[in-house]
Amino acid sequence: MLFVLAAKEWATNLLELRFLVCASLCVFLGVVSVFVLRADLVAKRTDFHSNQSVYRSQAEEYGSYRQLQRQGVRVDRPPQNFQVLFYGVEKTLDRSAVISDDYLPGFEGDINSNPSVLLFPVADMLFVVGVVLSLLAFFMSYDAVAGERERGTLKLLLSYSVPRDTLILAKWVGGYLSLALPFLVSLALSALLISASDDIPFRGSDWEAFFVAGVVSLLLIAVMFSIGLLVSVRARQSSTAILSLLALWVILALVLPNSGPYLAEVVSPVPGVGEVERTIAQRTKGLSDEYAAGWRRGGRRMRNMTGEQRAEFRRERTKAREQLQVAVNEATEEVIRDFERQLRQQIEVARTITRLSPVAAFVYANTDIGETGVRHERRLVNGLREYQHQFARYVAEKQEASSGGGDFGFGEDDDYDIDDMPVFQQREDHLSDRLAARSVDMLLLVVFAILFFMAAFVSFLRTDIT
Amino acid sequence: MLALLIAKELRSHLLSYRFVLTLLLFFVLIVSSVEMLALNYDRQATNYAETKRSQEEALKEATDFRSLQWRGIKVEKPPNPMSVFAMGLEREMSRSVKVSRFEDAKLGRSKYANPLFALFPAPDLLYIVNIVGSLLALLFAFDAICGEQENGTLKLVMAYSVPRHLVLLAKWIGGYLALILPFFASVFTALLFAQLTTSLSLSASDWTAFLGLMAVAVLYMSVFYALAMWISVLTHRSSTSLVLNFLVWVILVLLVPNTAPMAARAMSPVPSPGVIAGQRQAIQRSIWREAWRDIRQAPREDRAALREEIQARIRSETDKVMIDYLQKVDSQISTGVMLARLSPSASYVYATAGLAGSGLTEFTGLREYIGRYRTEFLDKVQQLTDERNREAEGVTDQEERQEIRDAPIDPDDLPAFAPVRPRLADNLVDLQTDLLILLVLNAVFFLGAYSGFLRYDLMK
Repeated sequence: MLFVLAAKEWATNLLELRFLVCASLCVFLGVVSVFVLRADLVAKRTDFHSNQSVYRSQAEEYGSYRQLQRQGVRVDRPPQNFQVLFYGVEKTLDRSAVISDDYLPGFEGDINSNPSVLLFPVADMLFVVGVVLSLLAFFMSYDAVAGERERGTLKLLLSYSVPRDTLILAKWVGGYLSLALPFLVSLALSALLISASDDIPFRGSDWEAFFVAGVVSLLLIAVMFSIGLLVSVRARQSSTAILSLLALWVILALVLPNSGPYLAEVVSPVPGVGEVERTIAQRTKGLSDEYAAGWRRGGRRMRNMTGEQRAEFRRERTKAREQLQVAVNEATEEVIRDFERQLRQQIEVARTITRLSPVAAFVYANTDIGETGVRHERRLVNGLREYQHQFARYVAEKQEASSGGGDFGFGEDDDYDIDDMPVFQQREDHLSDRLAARSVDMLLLVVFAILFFMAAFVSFLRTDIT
Repeated sequence: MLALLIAKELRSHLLSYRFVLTLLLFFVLIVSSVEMLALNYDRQATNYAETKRSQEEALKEATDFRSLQWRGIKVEKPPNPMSVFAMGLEREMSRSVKVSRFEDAKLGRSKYANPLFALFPAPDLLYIVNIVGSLLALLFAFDAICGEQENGTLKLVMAYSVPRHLVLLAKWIGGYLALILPFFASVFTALLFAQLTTSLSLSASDWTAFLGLMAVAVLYMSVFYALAMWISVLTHRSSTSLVLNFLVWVILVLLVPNTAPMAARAMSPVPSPGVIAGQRQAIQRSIWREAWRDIRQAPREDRAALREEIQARIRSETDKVMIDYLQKVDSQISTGVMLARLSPSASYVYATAGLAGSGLTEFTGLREYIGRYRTEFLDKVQQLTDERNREAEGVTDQEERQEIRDAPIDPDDLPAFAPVRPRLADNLVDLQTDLLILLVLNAVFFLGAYSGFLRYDLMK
């Protein structure tokens, strides 16, 4: 019985203009987005690899470890495979970092880059599913019950010996399938596009993540479809249903997720950059003043010193300088850590506010599954700092071992050789860890799906069919 | 006659569910968005003033003037009150910029930024009008003709002695008024509320820009209104019209502008900025390395001139690289803009962001201003250093000499970092393409609806 009803529902949907439009939109948008983003990713990957060697040879030309320490090596933001599907935090101008003796490096934006990408949201799979498909889900479901009631066919249907629960279940299954199947086709086509390109190395774990992301997308579509069905059961007329759903869509998919970060800034403010820098300056001012005073005191005495004493004094000051650097680093790190704790809290607040919207939960889940989300950003910055420590250690060791040579000002080290310099490598983030981090969002989607379907189910059982 | 028809149209809209919904949506969205972003602006303005004050204090206290040109100073653009309505690139533009002799200016402070902002576009007025406004315009007009045809009332109206063009015009005016009135009411309330509760205040030129903003919004929504009307004339069932409208909307508003910049990046590639920076460094290094010997061998008094000459050579060589590179960037930007203009939504975004001072032109302007400011700042520092050196020459005591050279500086002596926003008149020149596109589309769609309606088959 269920099967017959679902098949009937599916067949009626299939014959409608809106199915044709929805299905073709779904496939078309999916393919276009993957196609365009694939070209973007390939270009980024080529850039990344050629830049890597360019940066390396630039560093080799420095000729002295001092220069290396001061001017540093550049590191580009590694392109993420998943940005063909979920662009996420990759939508930024901050592309390259300089690793030098500054021990808190970060990716920075070049002033001469093209900012036009930032004016519009990127049309990636995230956008296609979160915004377009959730609207299509409303479009497919708004008259599922309300329309039949208006036309009178609902009365006819229920005059047969069909239980209401089977009927509503069949409506859900039939309607959902007519939405999920085009999406699966679009997903399969994008998988094909990805695997057809040799330049995008999707590995086993990436395909697993792809699979999970697909399941999460299907979950979101289920949630939105259930909401549509619920409104369709409750509404008297299908025109009322579609209008209410459109308003709901605007709020759930367009406004709530976007307002989150701004609301969080009001609710749980973090100090501005200027304030952070001020705090750091205050904390370190005492330290460096003391150091400077030491120089001044010594400078006066130096005139009356013998050569040996002077050398001794210089050594002492160098030591003091190192100690100062360590103390300044510690103080700065403390301030930054405190700031970052507050920022994490703010992000958490923003997430909690926006999770009311299933679309936001979906975005958080899929960006982190695809390693293009907030988690990735944090890991990237941490990785960069770790690399800076490695780099600093390496340069210090080399400087100590180096025999020096050349002049003081523009001096070159005769044995300058950085073949064994460490390379920046982002540590792998296991899929299971990523999933564990986003379990709340996925759970929430499941709960939403069940909740709204149950609400639709119960309402339909008690609905007045005339 | 026309007035009567318009009044009837308006009345029937005012009583409908969609009018209530539109009113509510516009009201809630616009008021909360403006208020939220105004609060944000408030914080930014306080932060900016605070940072600026402490930077000036630090300058006044600093006792190592000589290192200023290496250490550089941090400058920041004051926050733009118009960004409350159109965020655009404001977030990227208001980062603090370090200006120093040896480093290029970076638009950087990302290591302290909240990455969530990258995930979603800003929910500003621009976004609401761009997406929600266009959608509502479609909803108001999708059944203008075919809905009445379905109900049979169209036949009834035409049985009276009213010319068809008047009916269509009345429908256009009446329906559009019903859409635009809630919009204006919401914007007005939002503005009032934000001005009362936050420190948001607009200057005279800001008000003009704001009026321009409203005008572009009205023009943009009417494009979609006319388009929906045309589609409703072409179809005979309102459900078909709705689906078609929706299809067109997704493509025009969601697909074209969002894909265009990406497509432009693939179509006209640009080398990455890091490579260019490296190239410039390499040029600098190689010229210095060649010239190093000459300088050392030259007699002491010629060295300064020689240095100057080398600097000039480096500048001209690196400028060549930069000009070439910037040309590529500009051509990529204009490719993206041209592609995106296939959709009126992009024209709307460009025009609005331009009017609000947070668009692409302003970004380029800021980039150029930072370059100019850097030269100005370094020249000034050099001049001050020279003055102090001259002053110190006569002093015999070494410590005193050092004190004169390193004395703290009055912040007012340094050039002020104050990028000027382009005037509205200059802006209009840039905006005219977008305005023209919107106007032409309005005319085309309305004429399409008009000629379609004149041959509309009432009996079908």
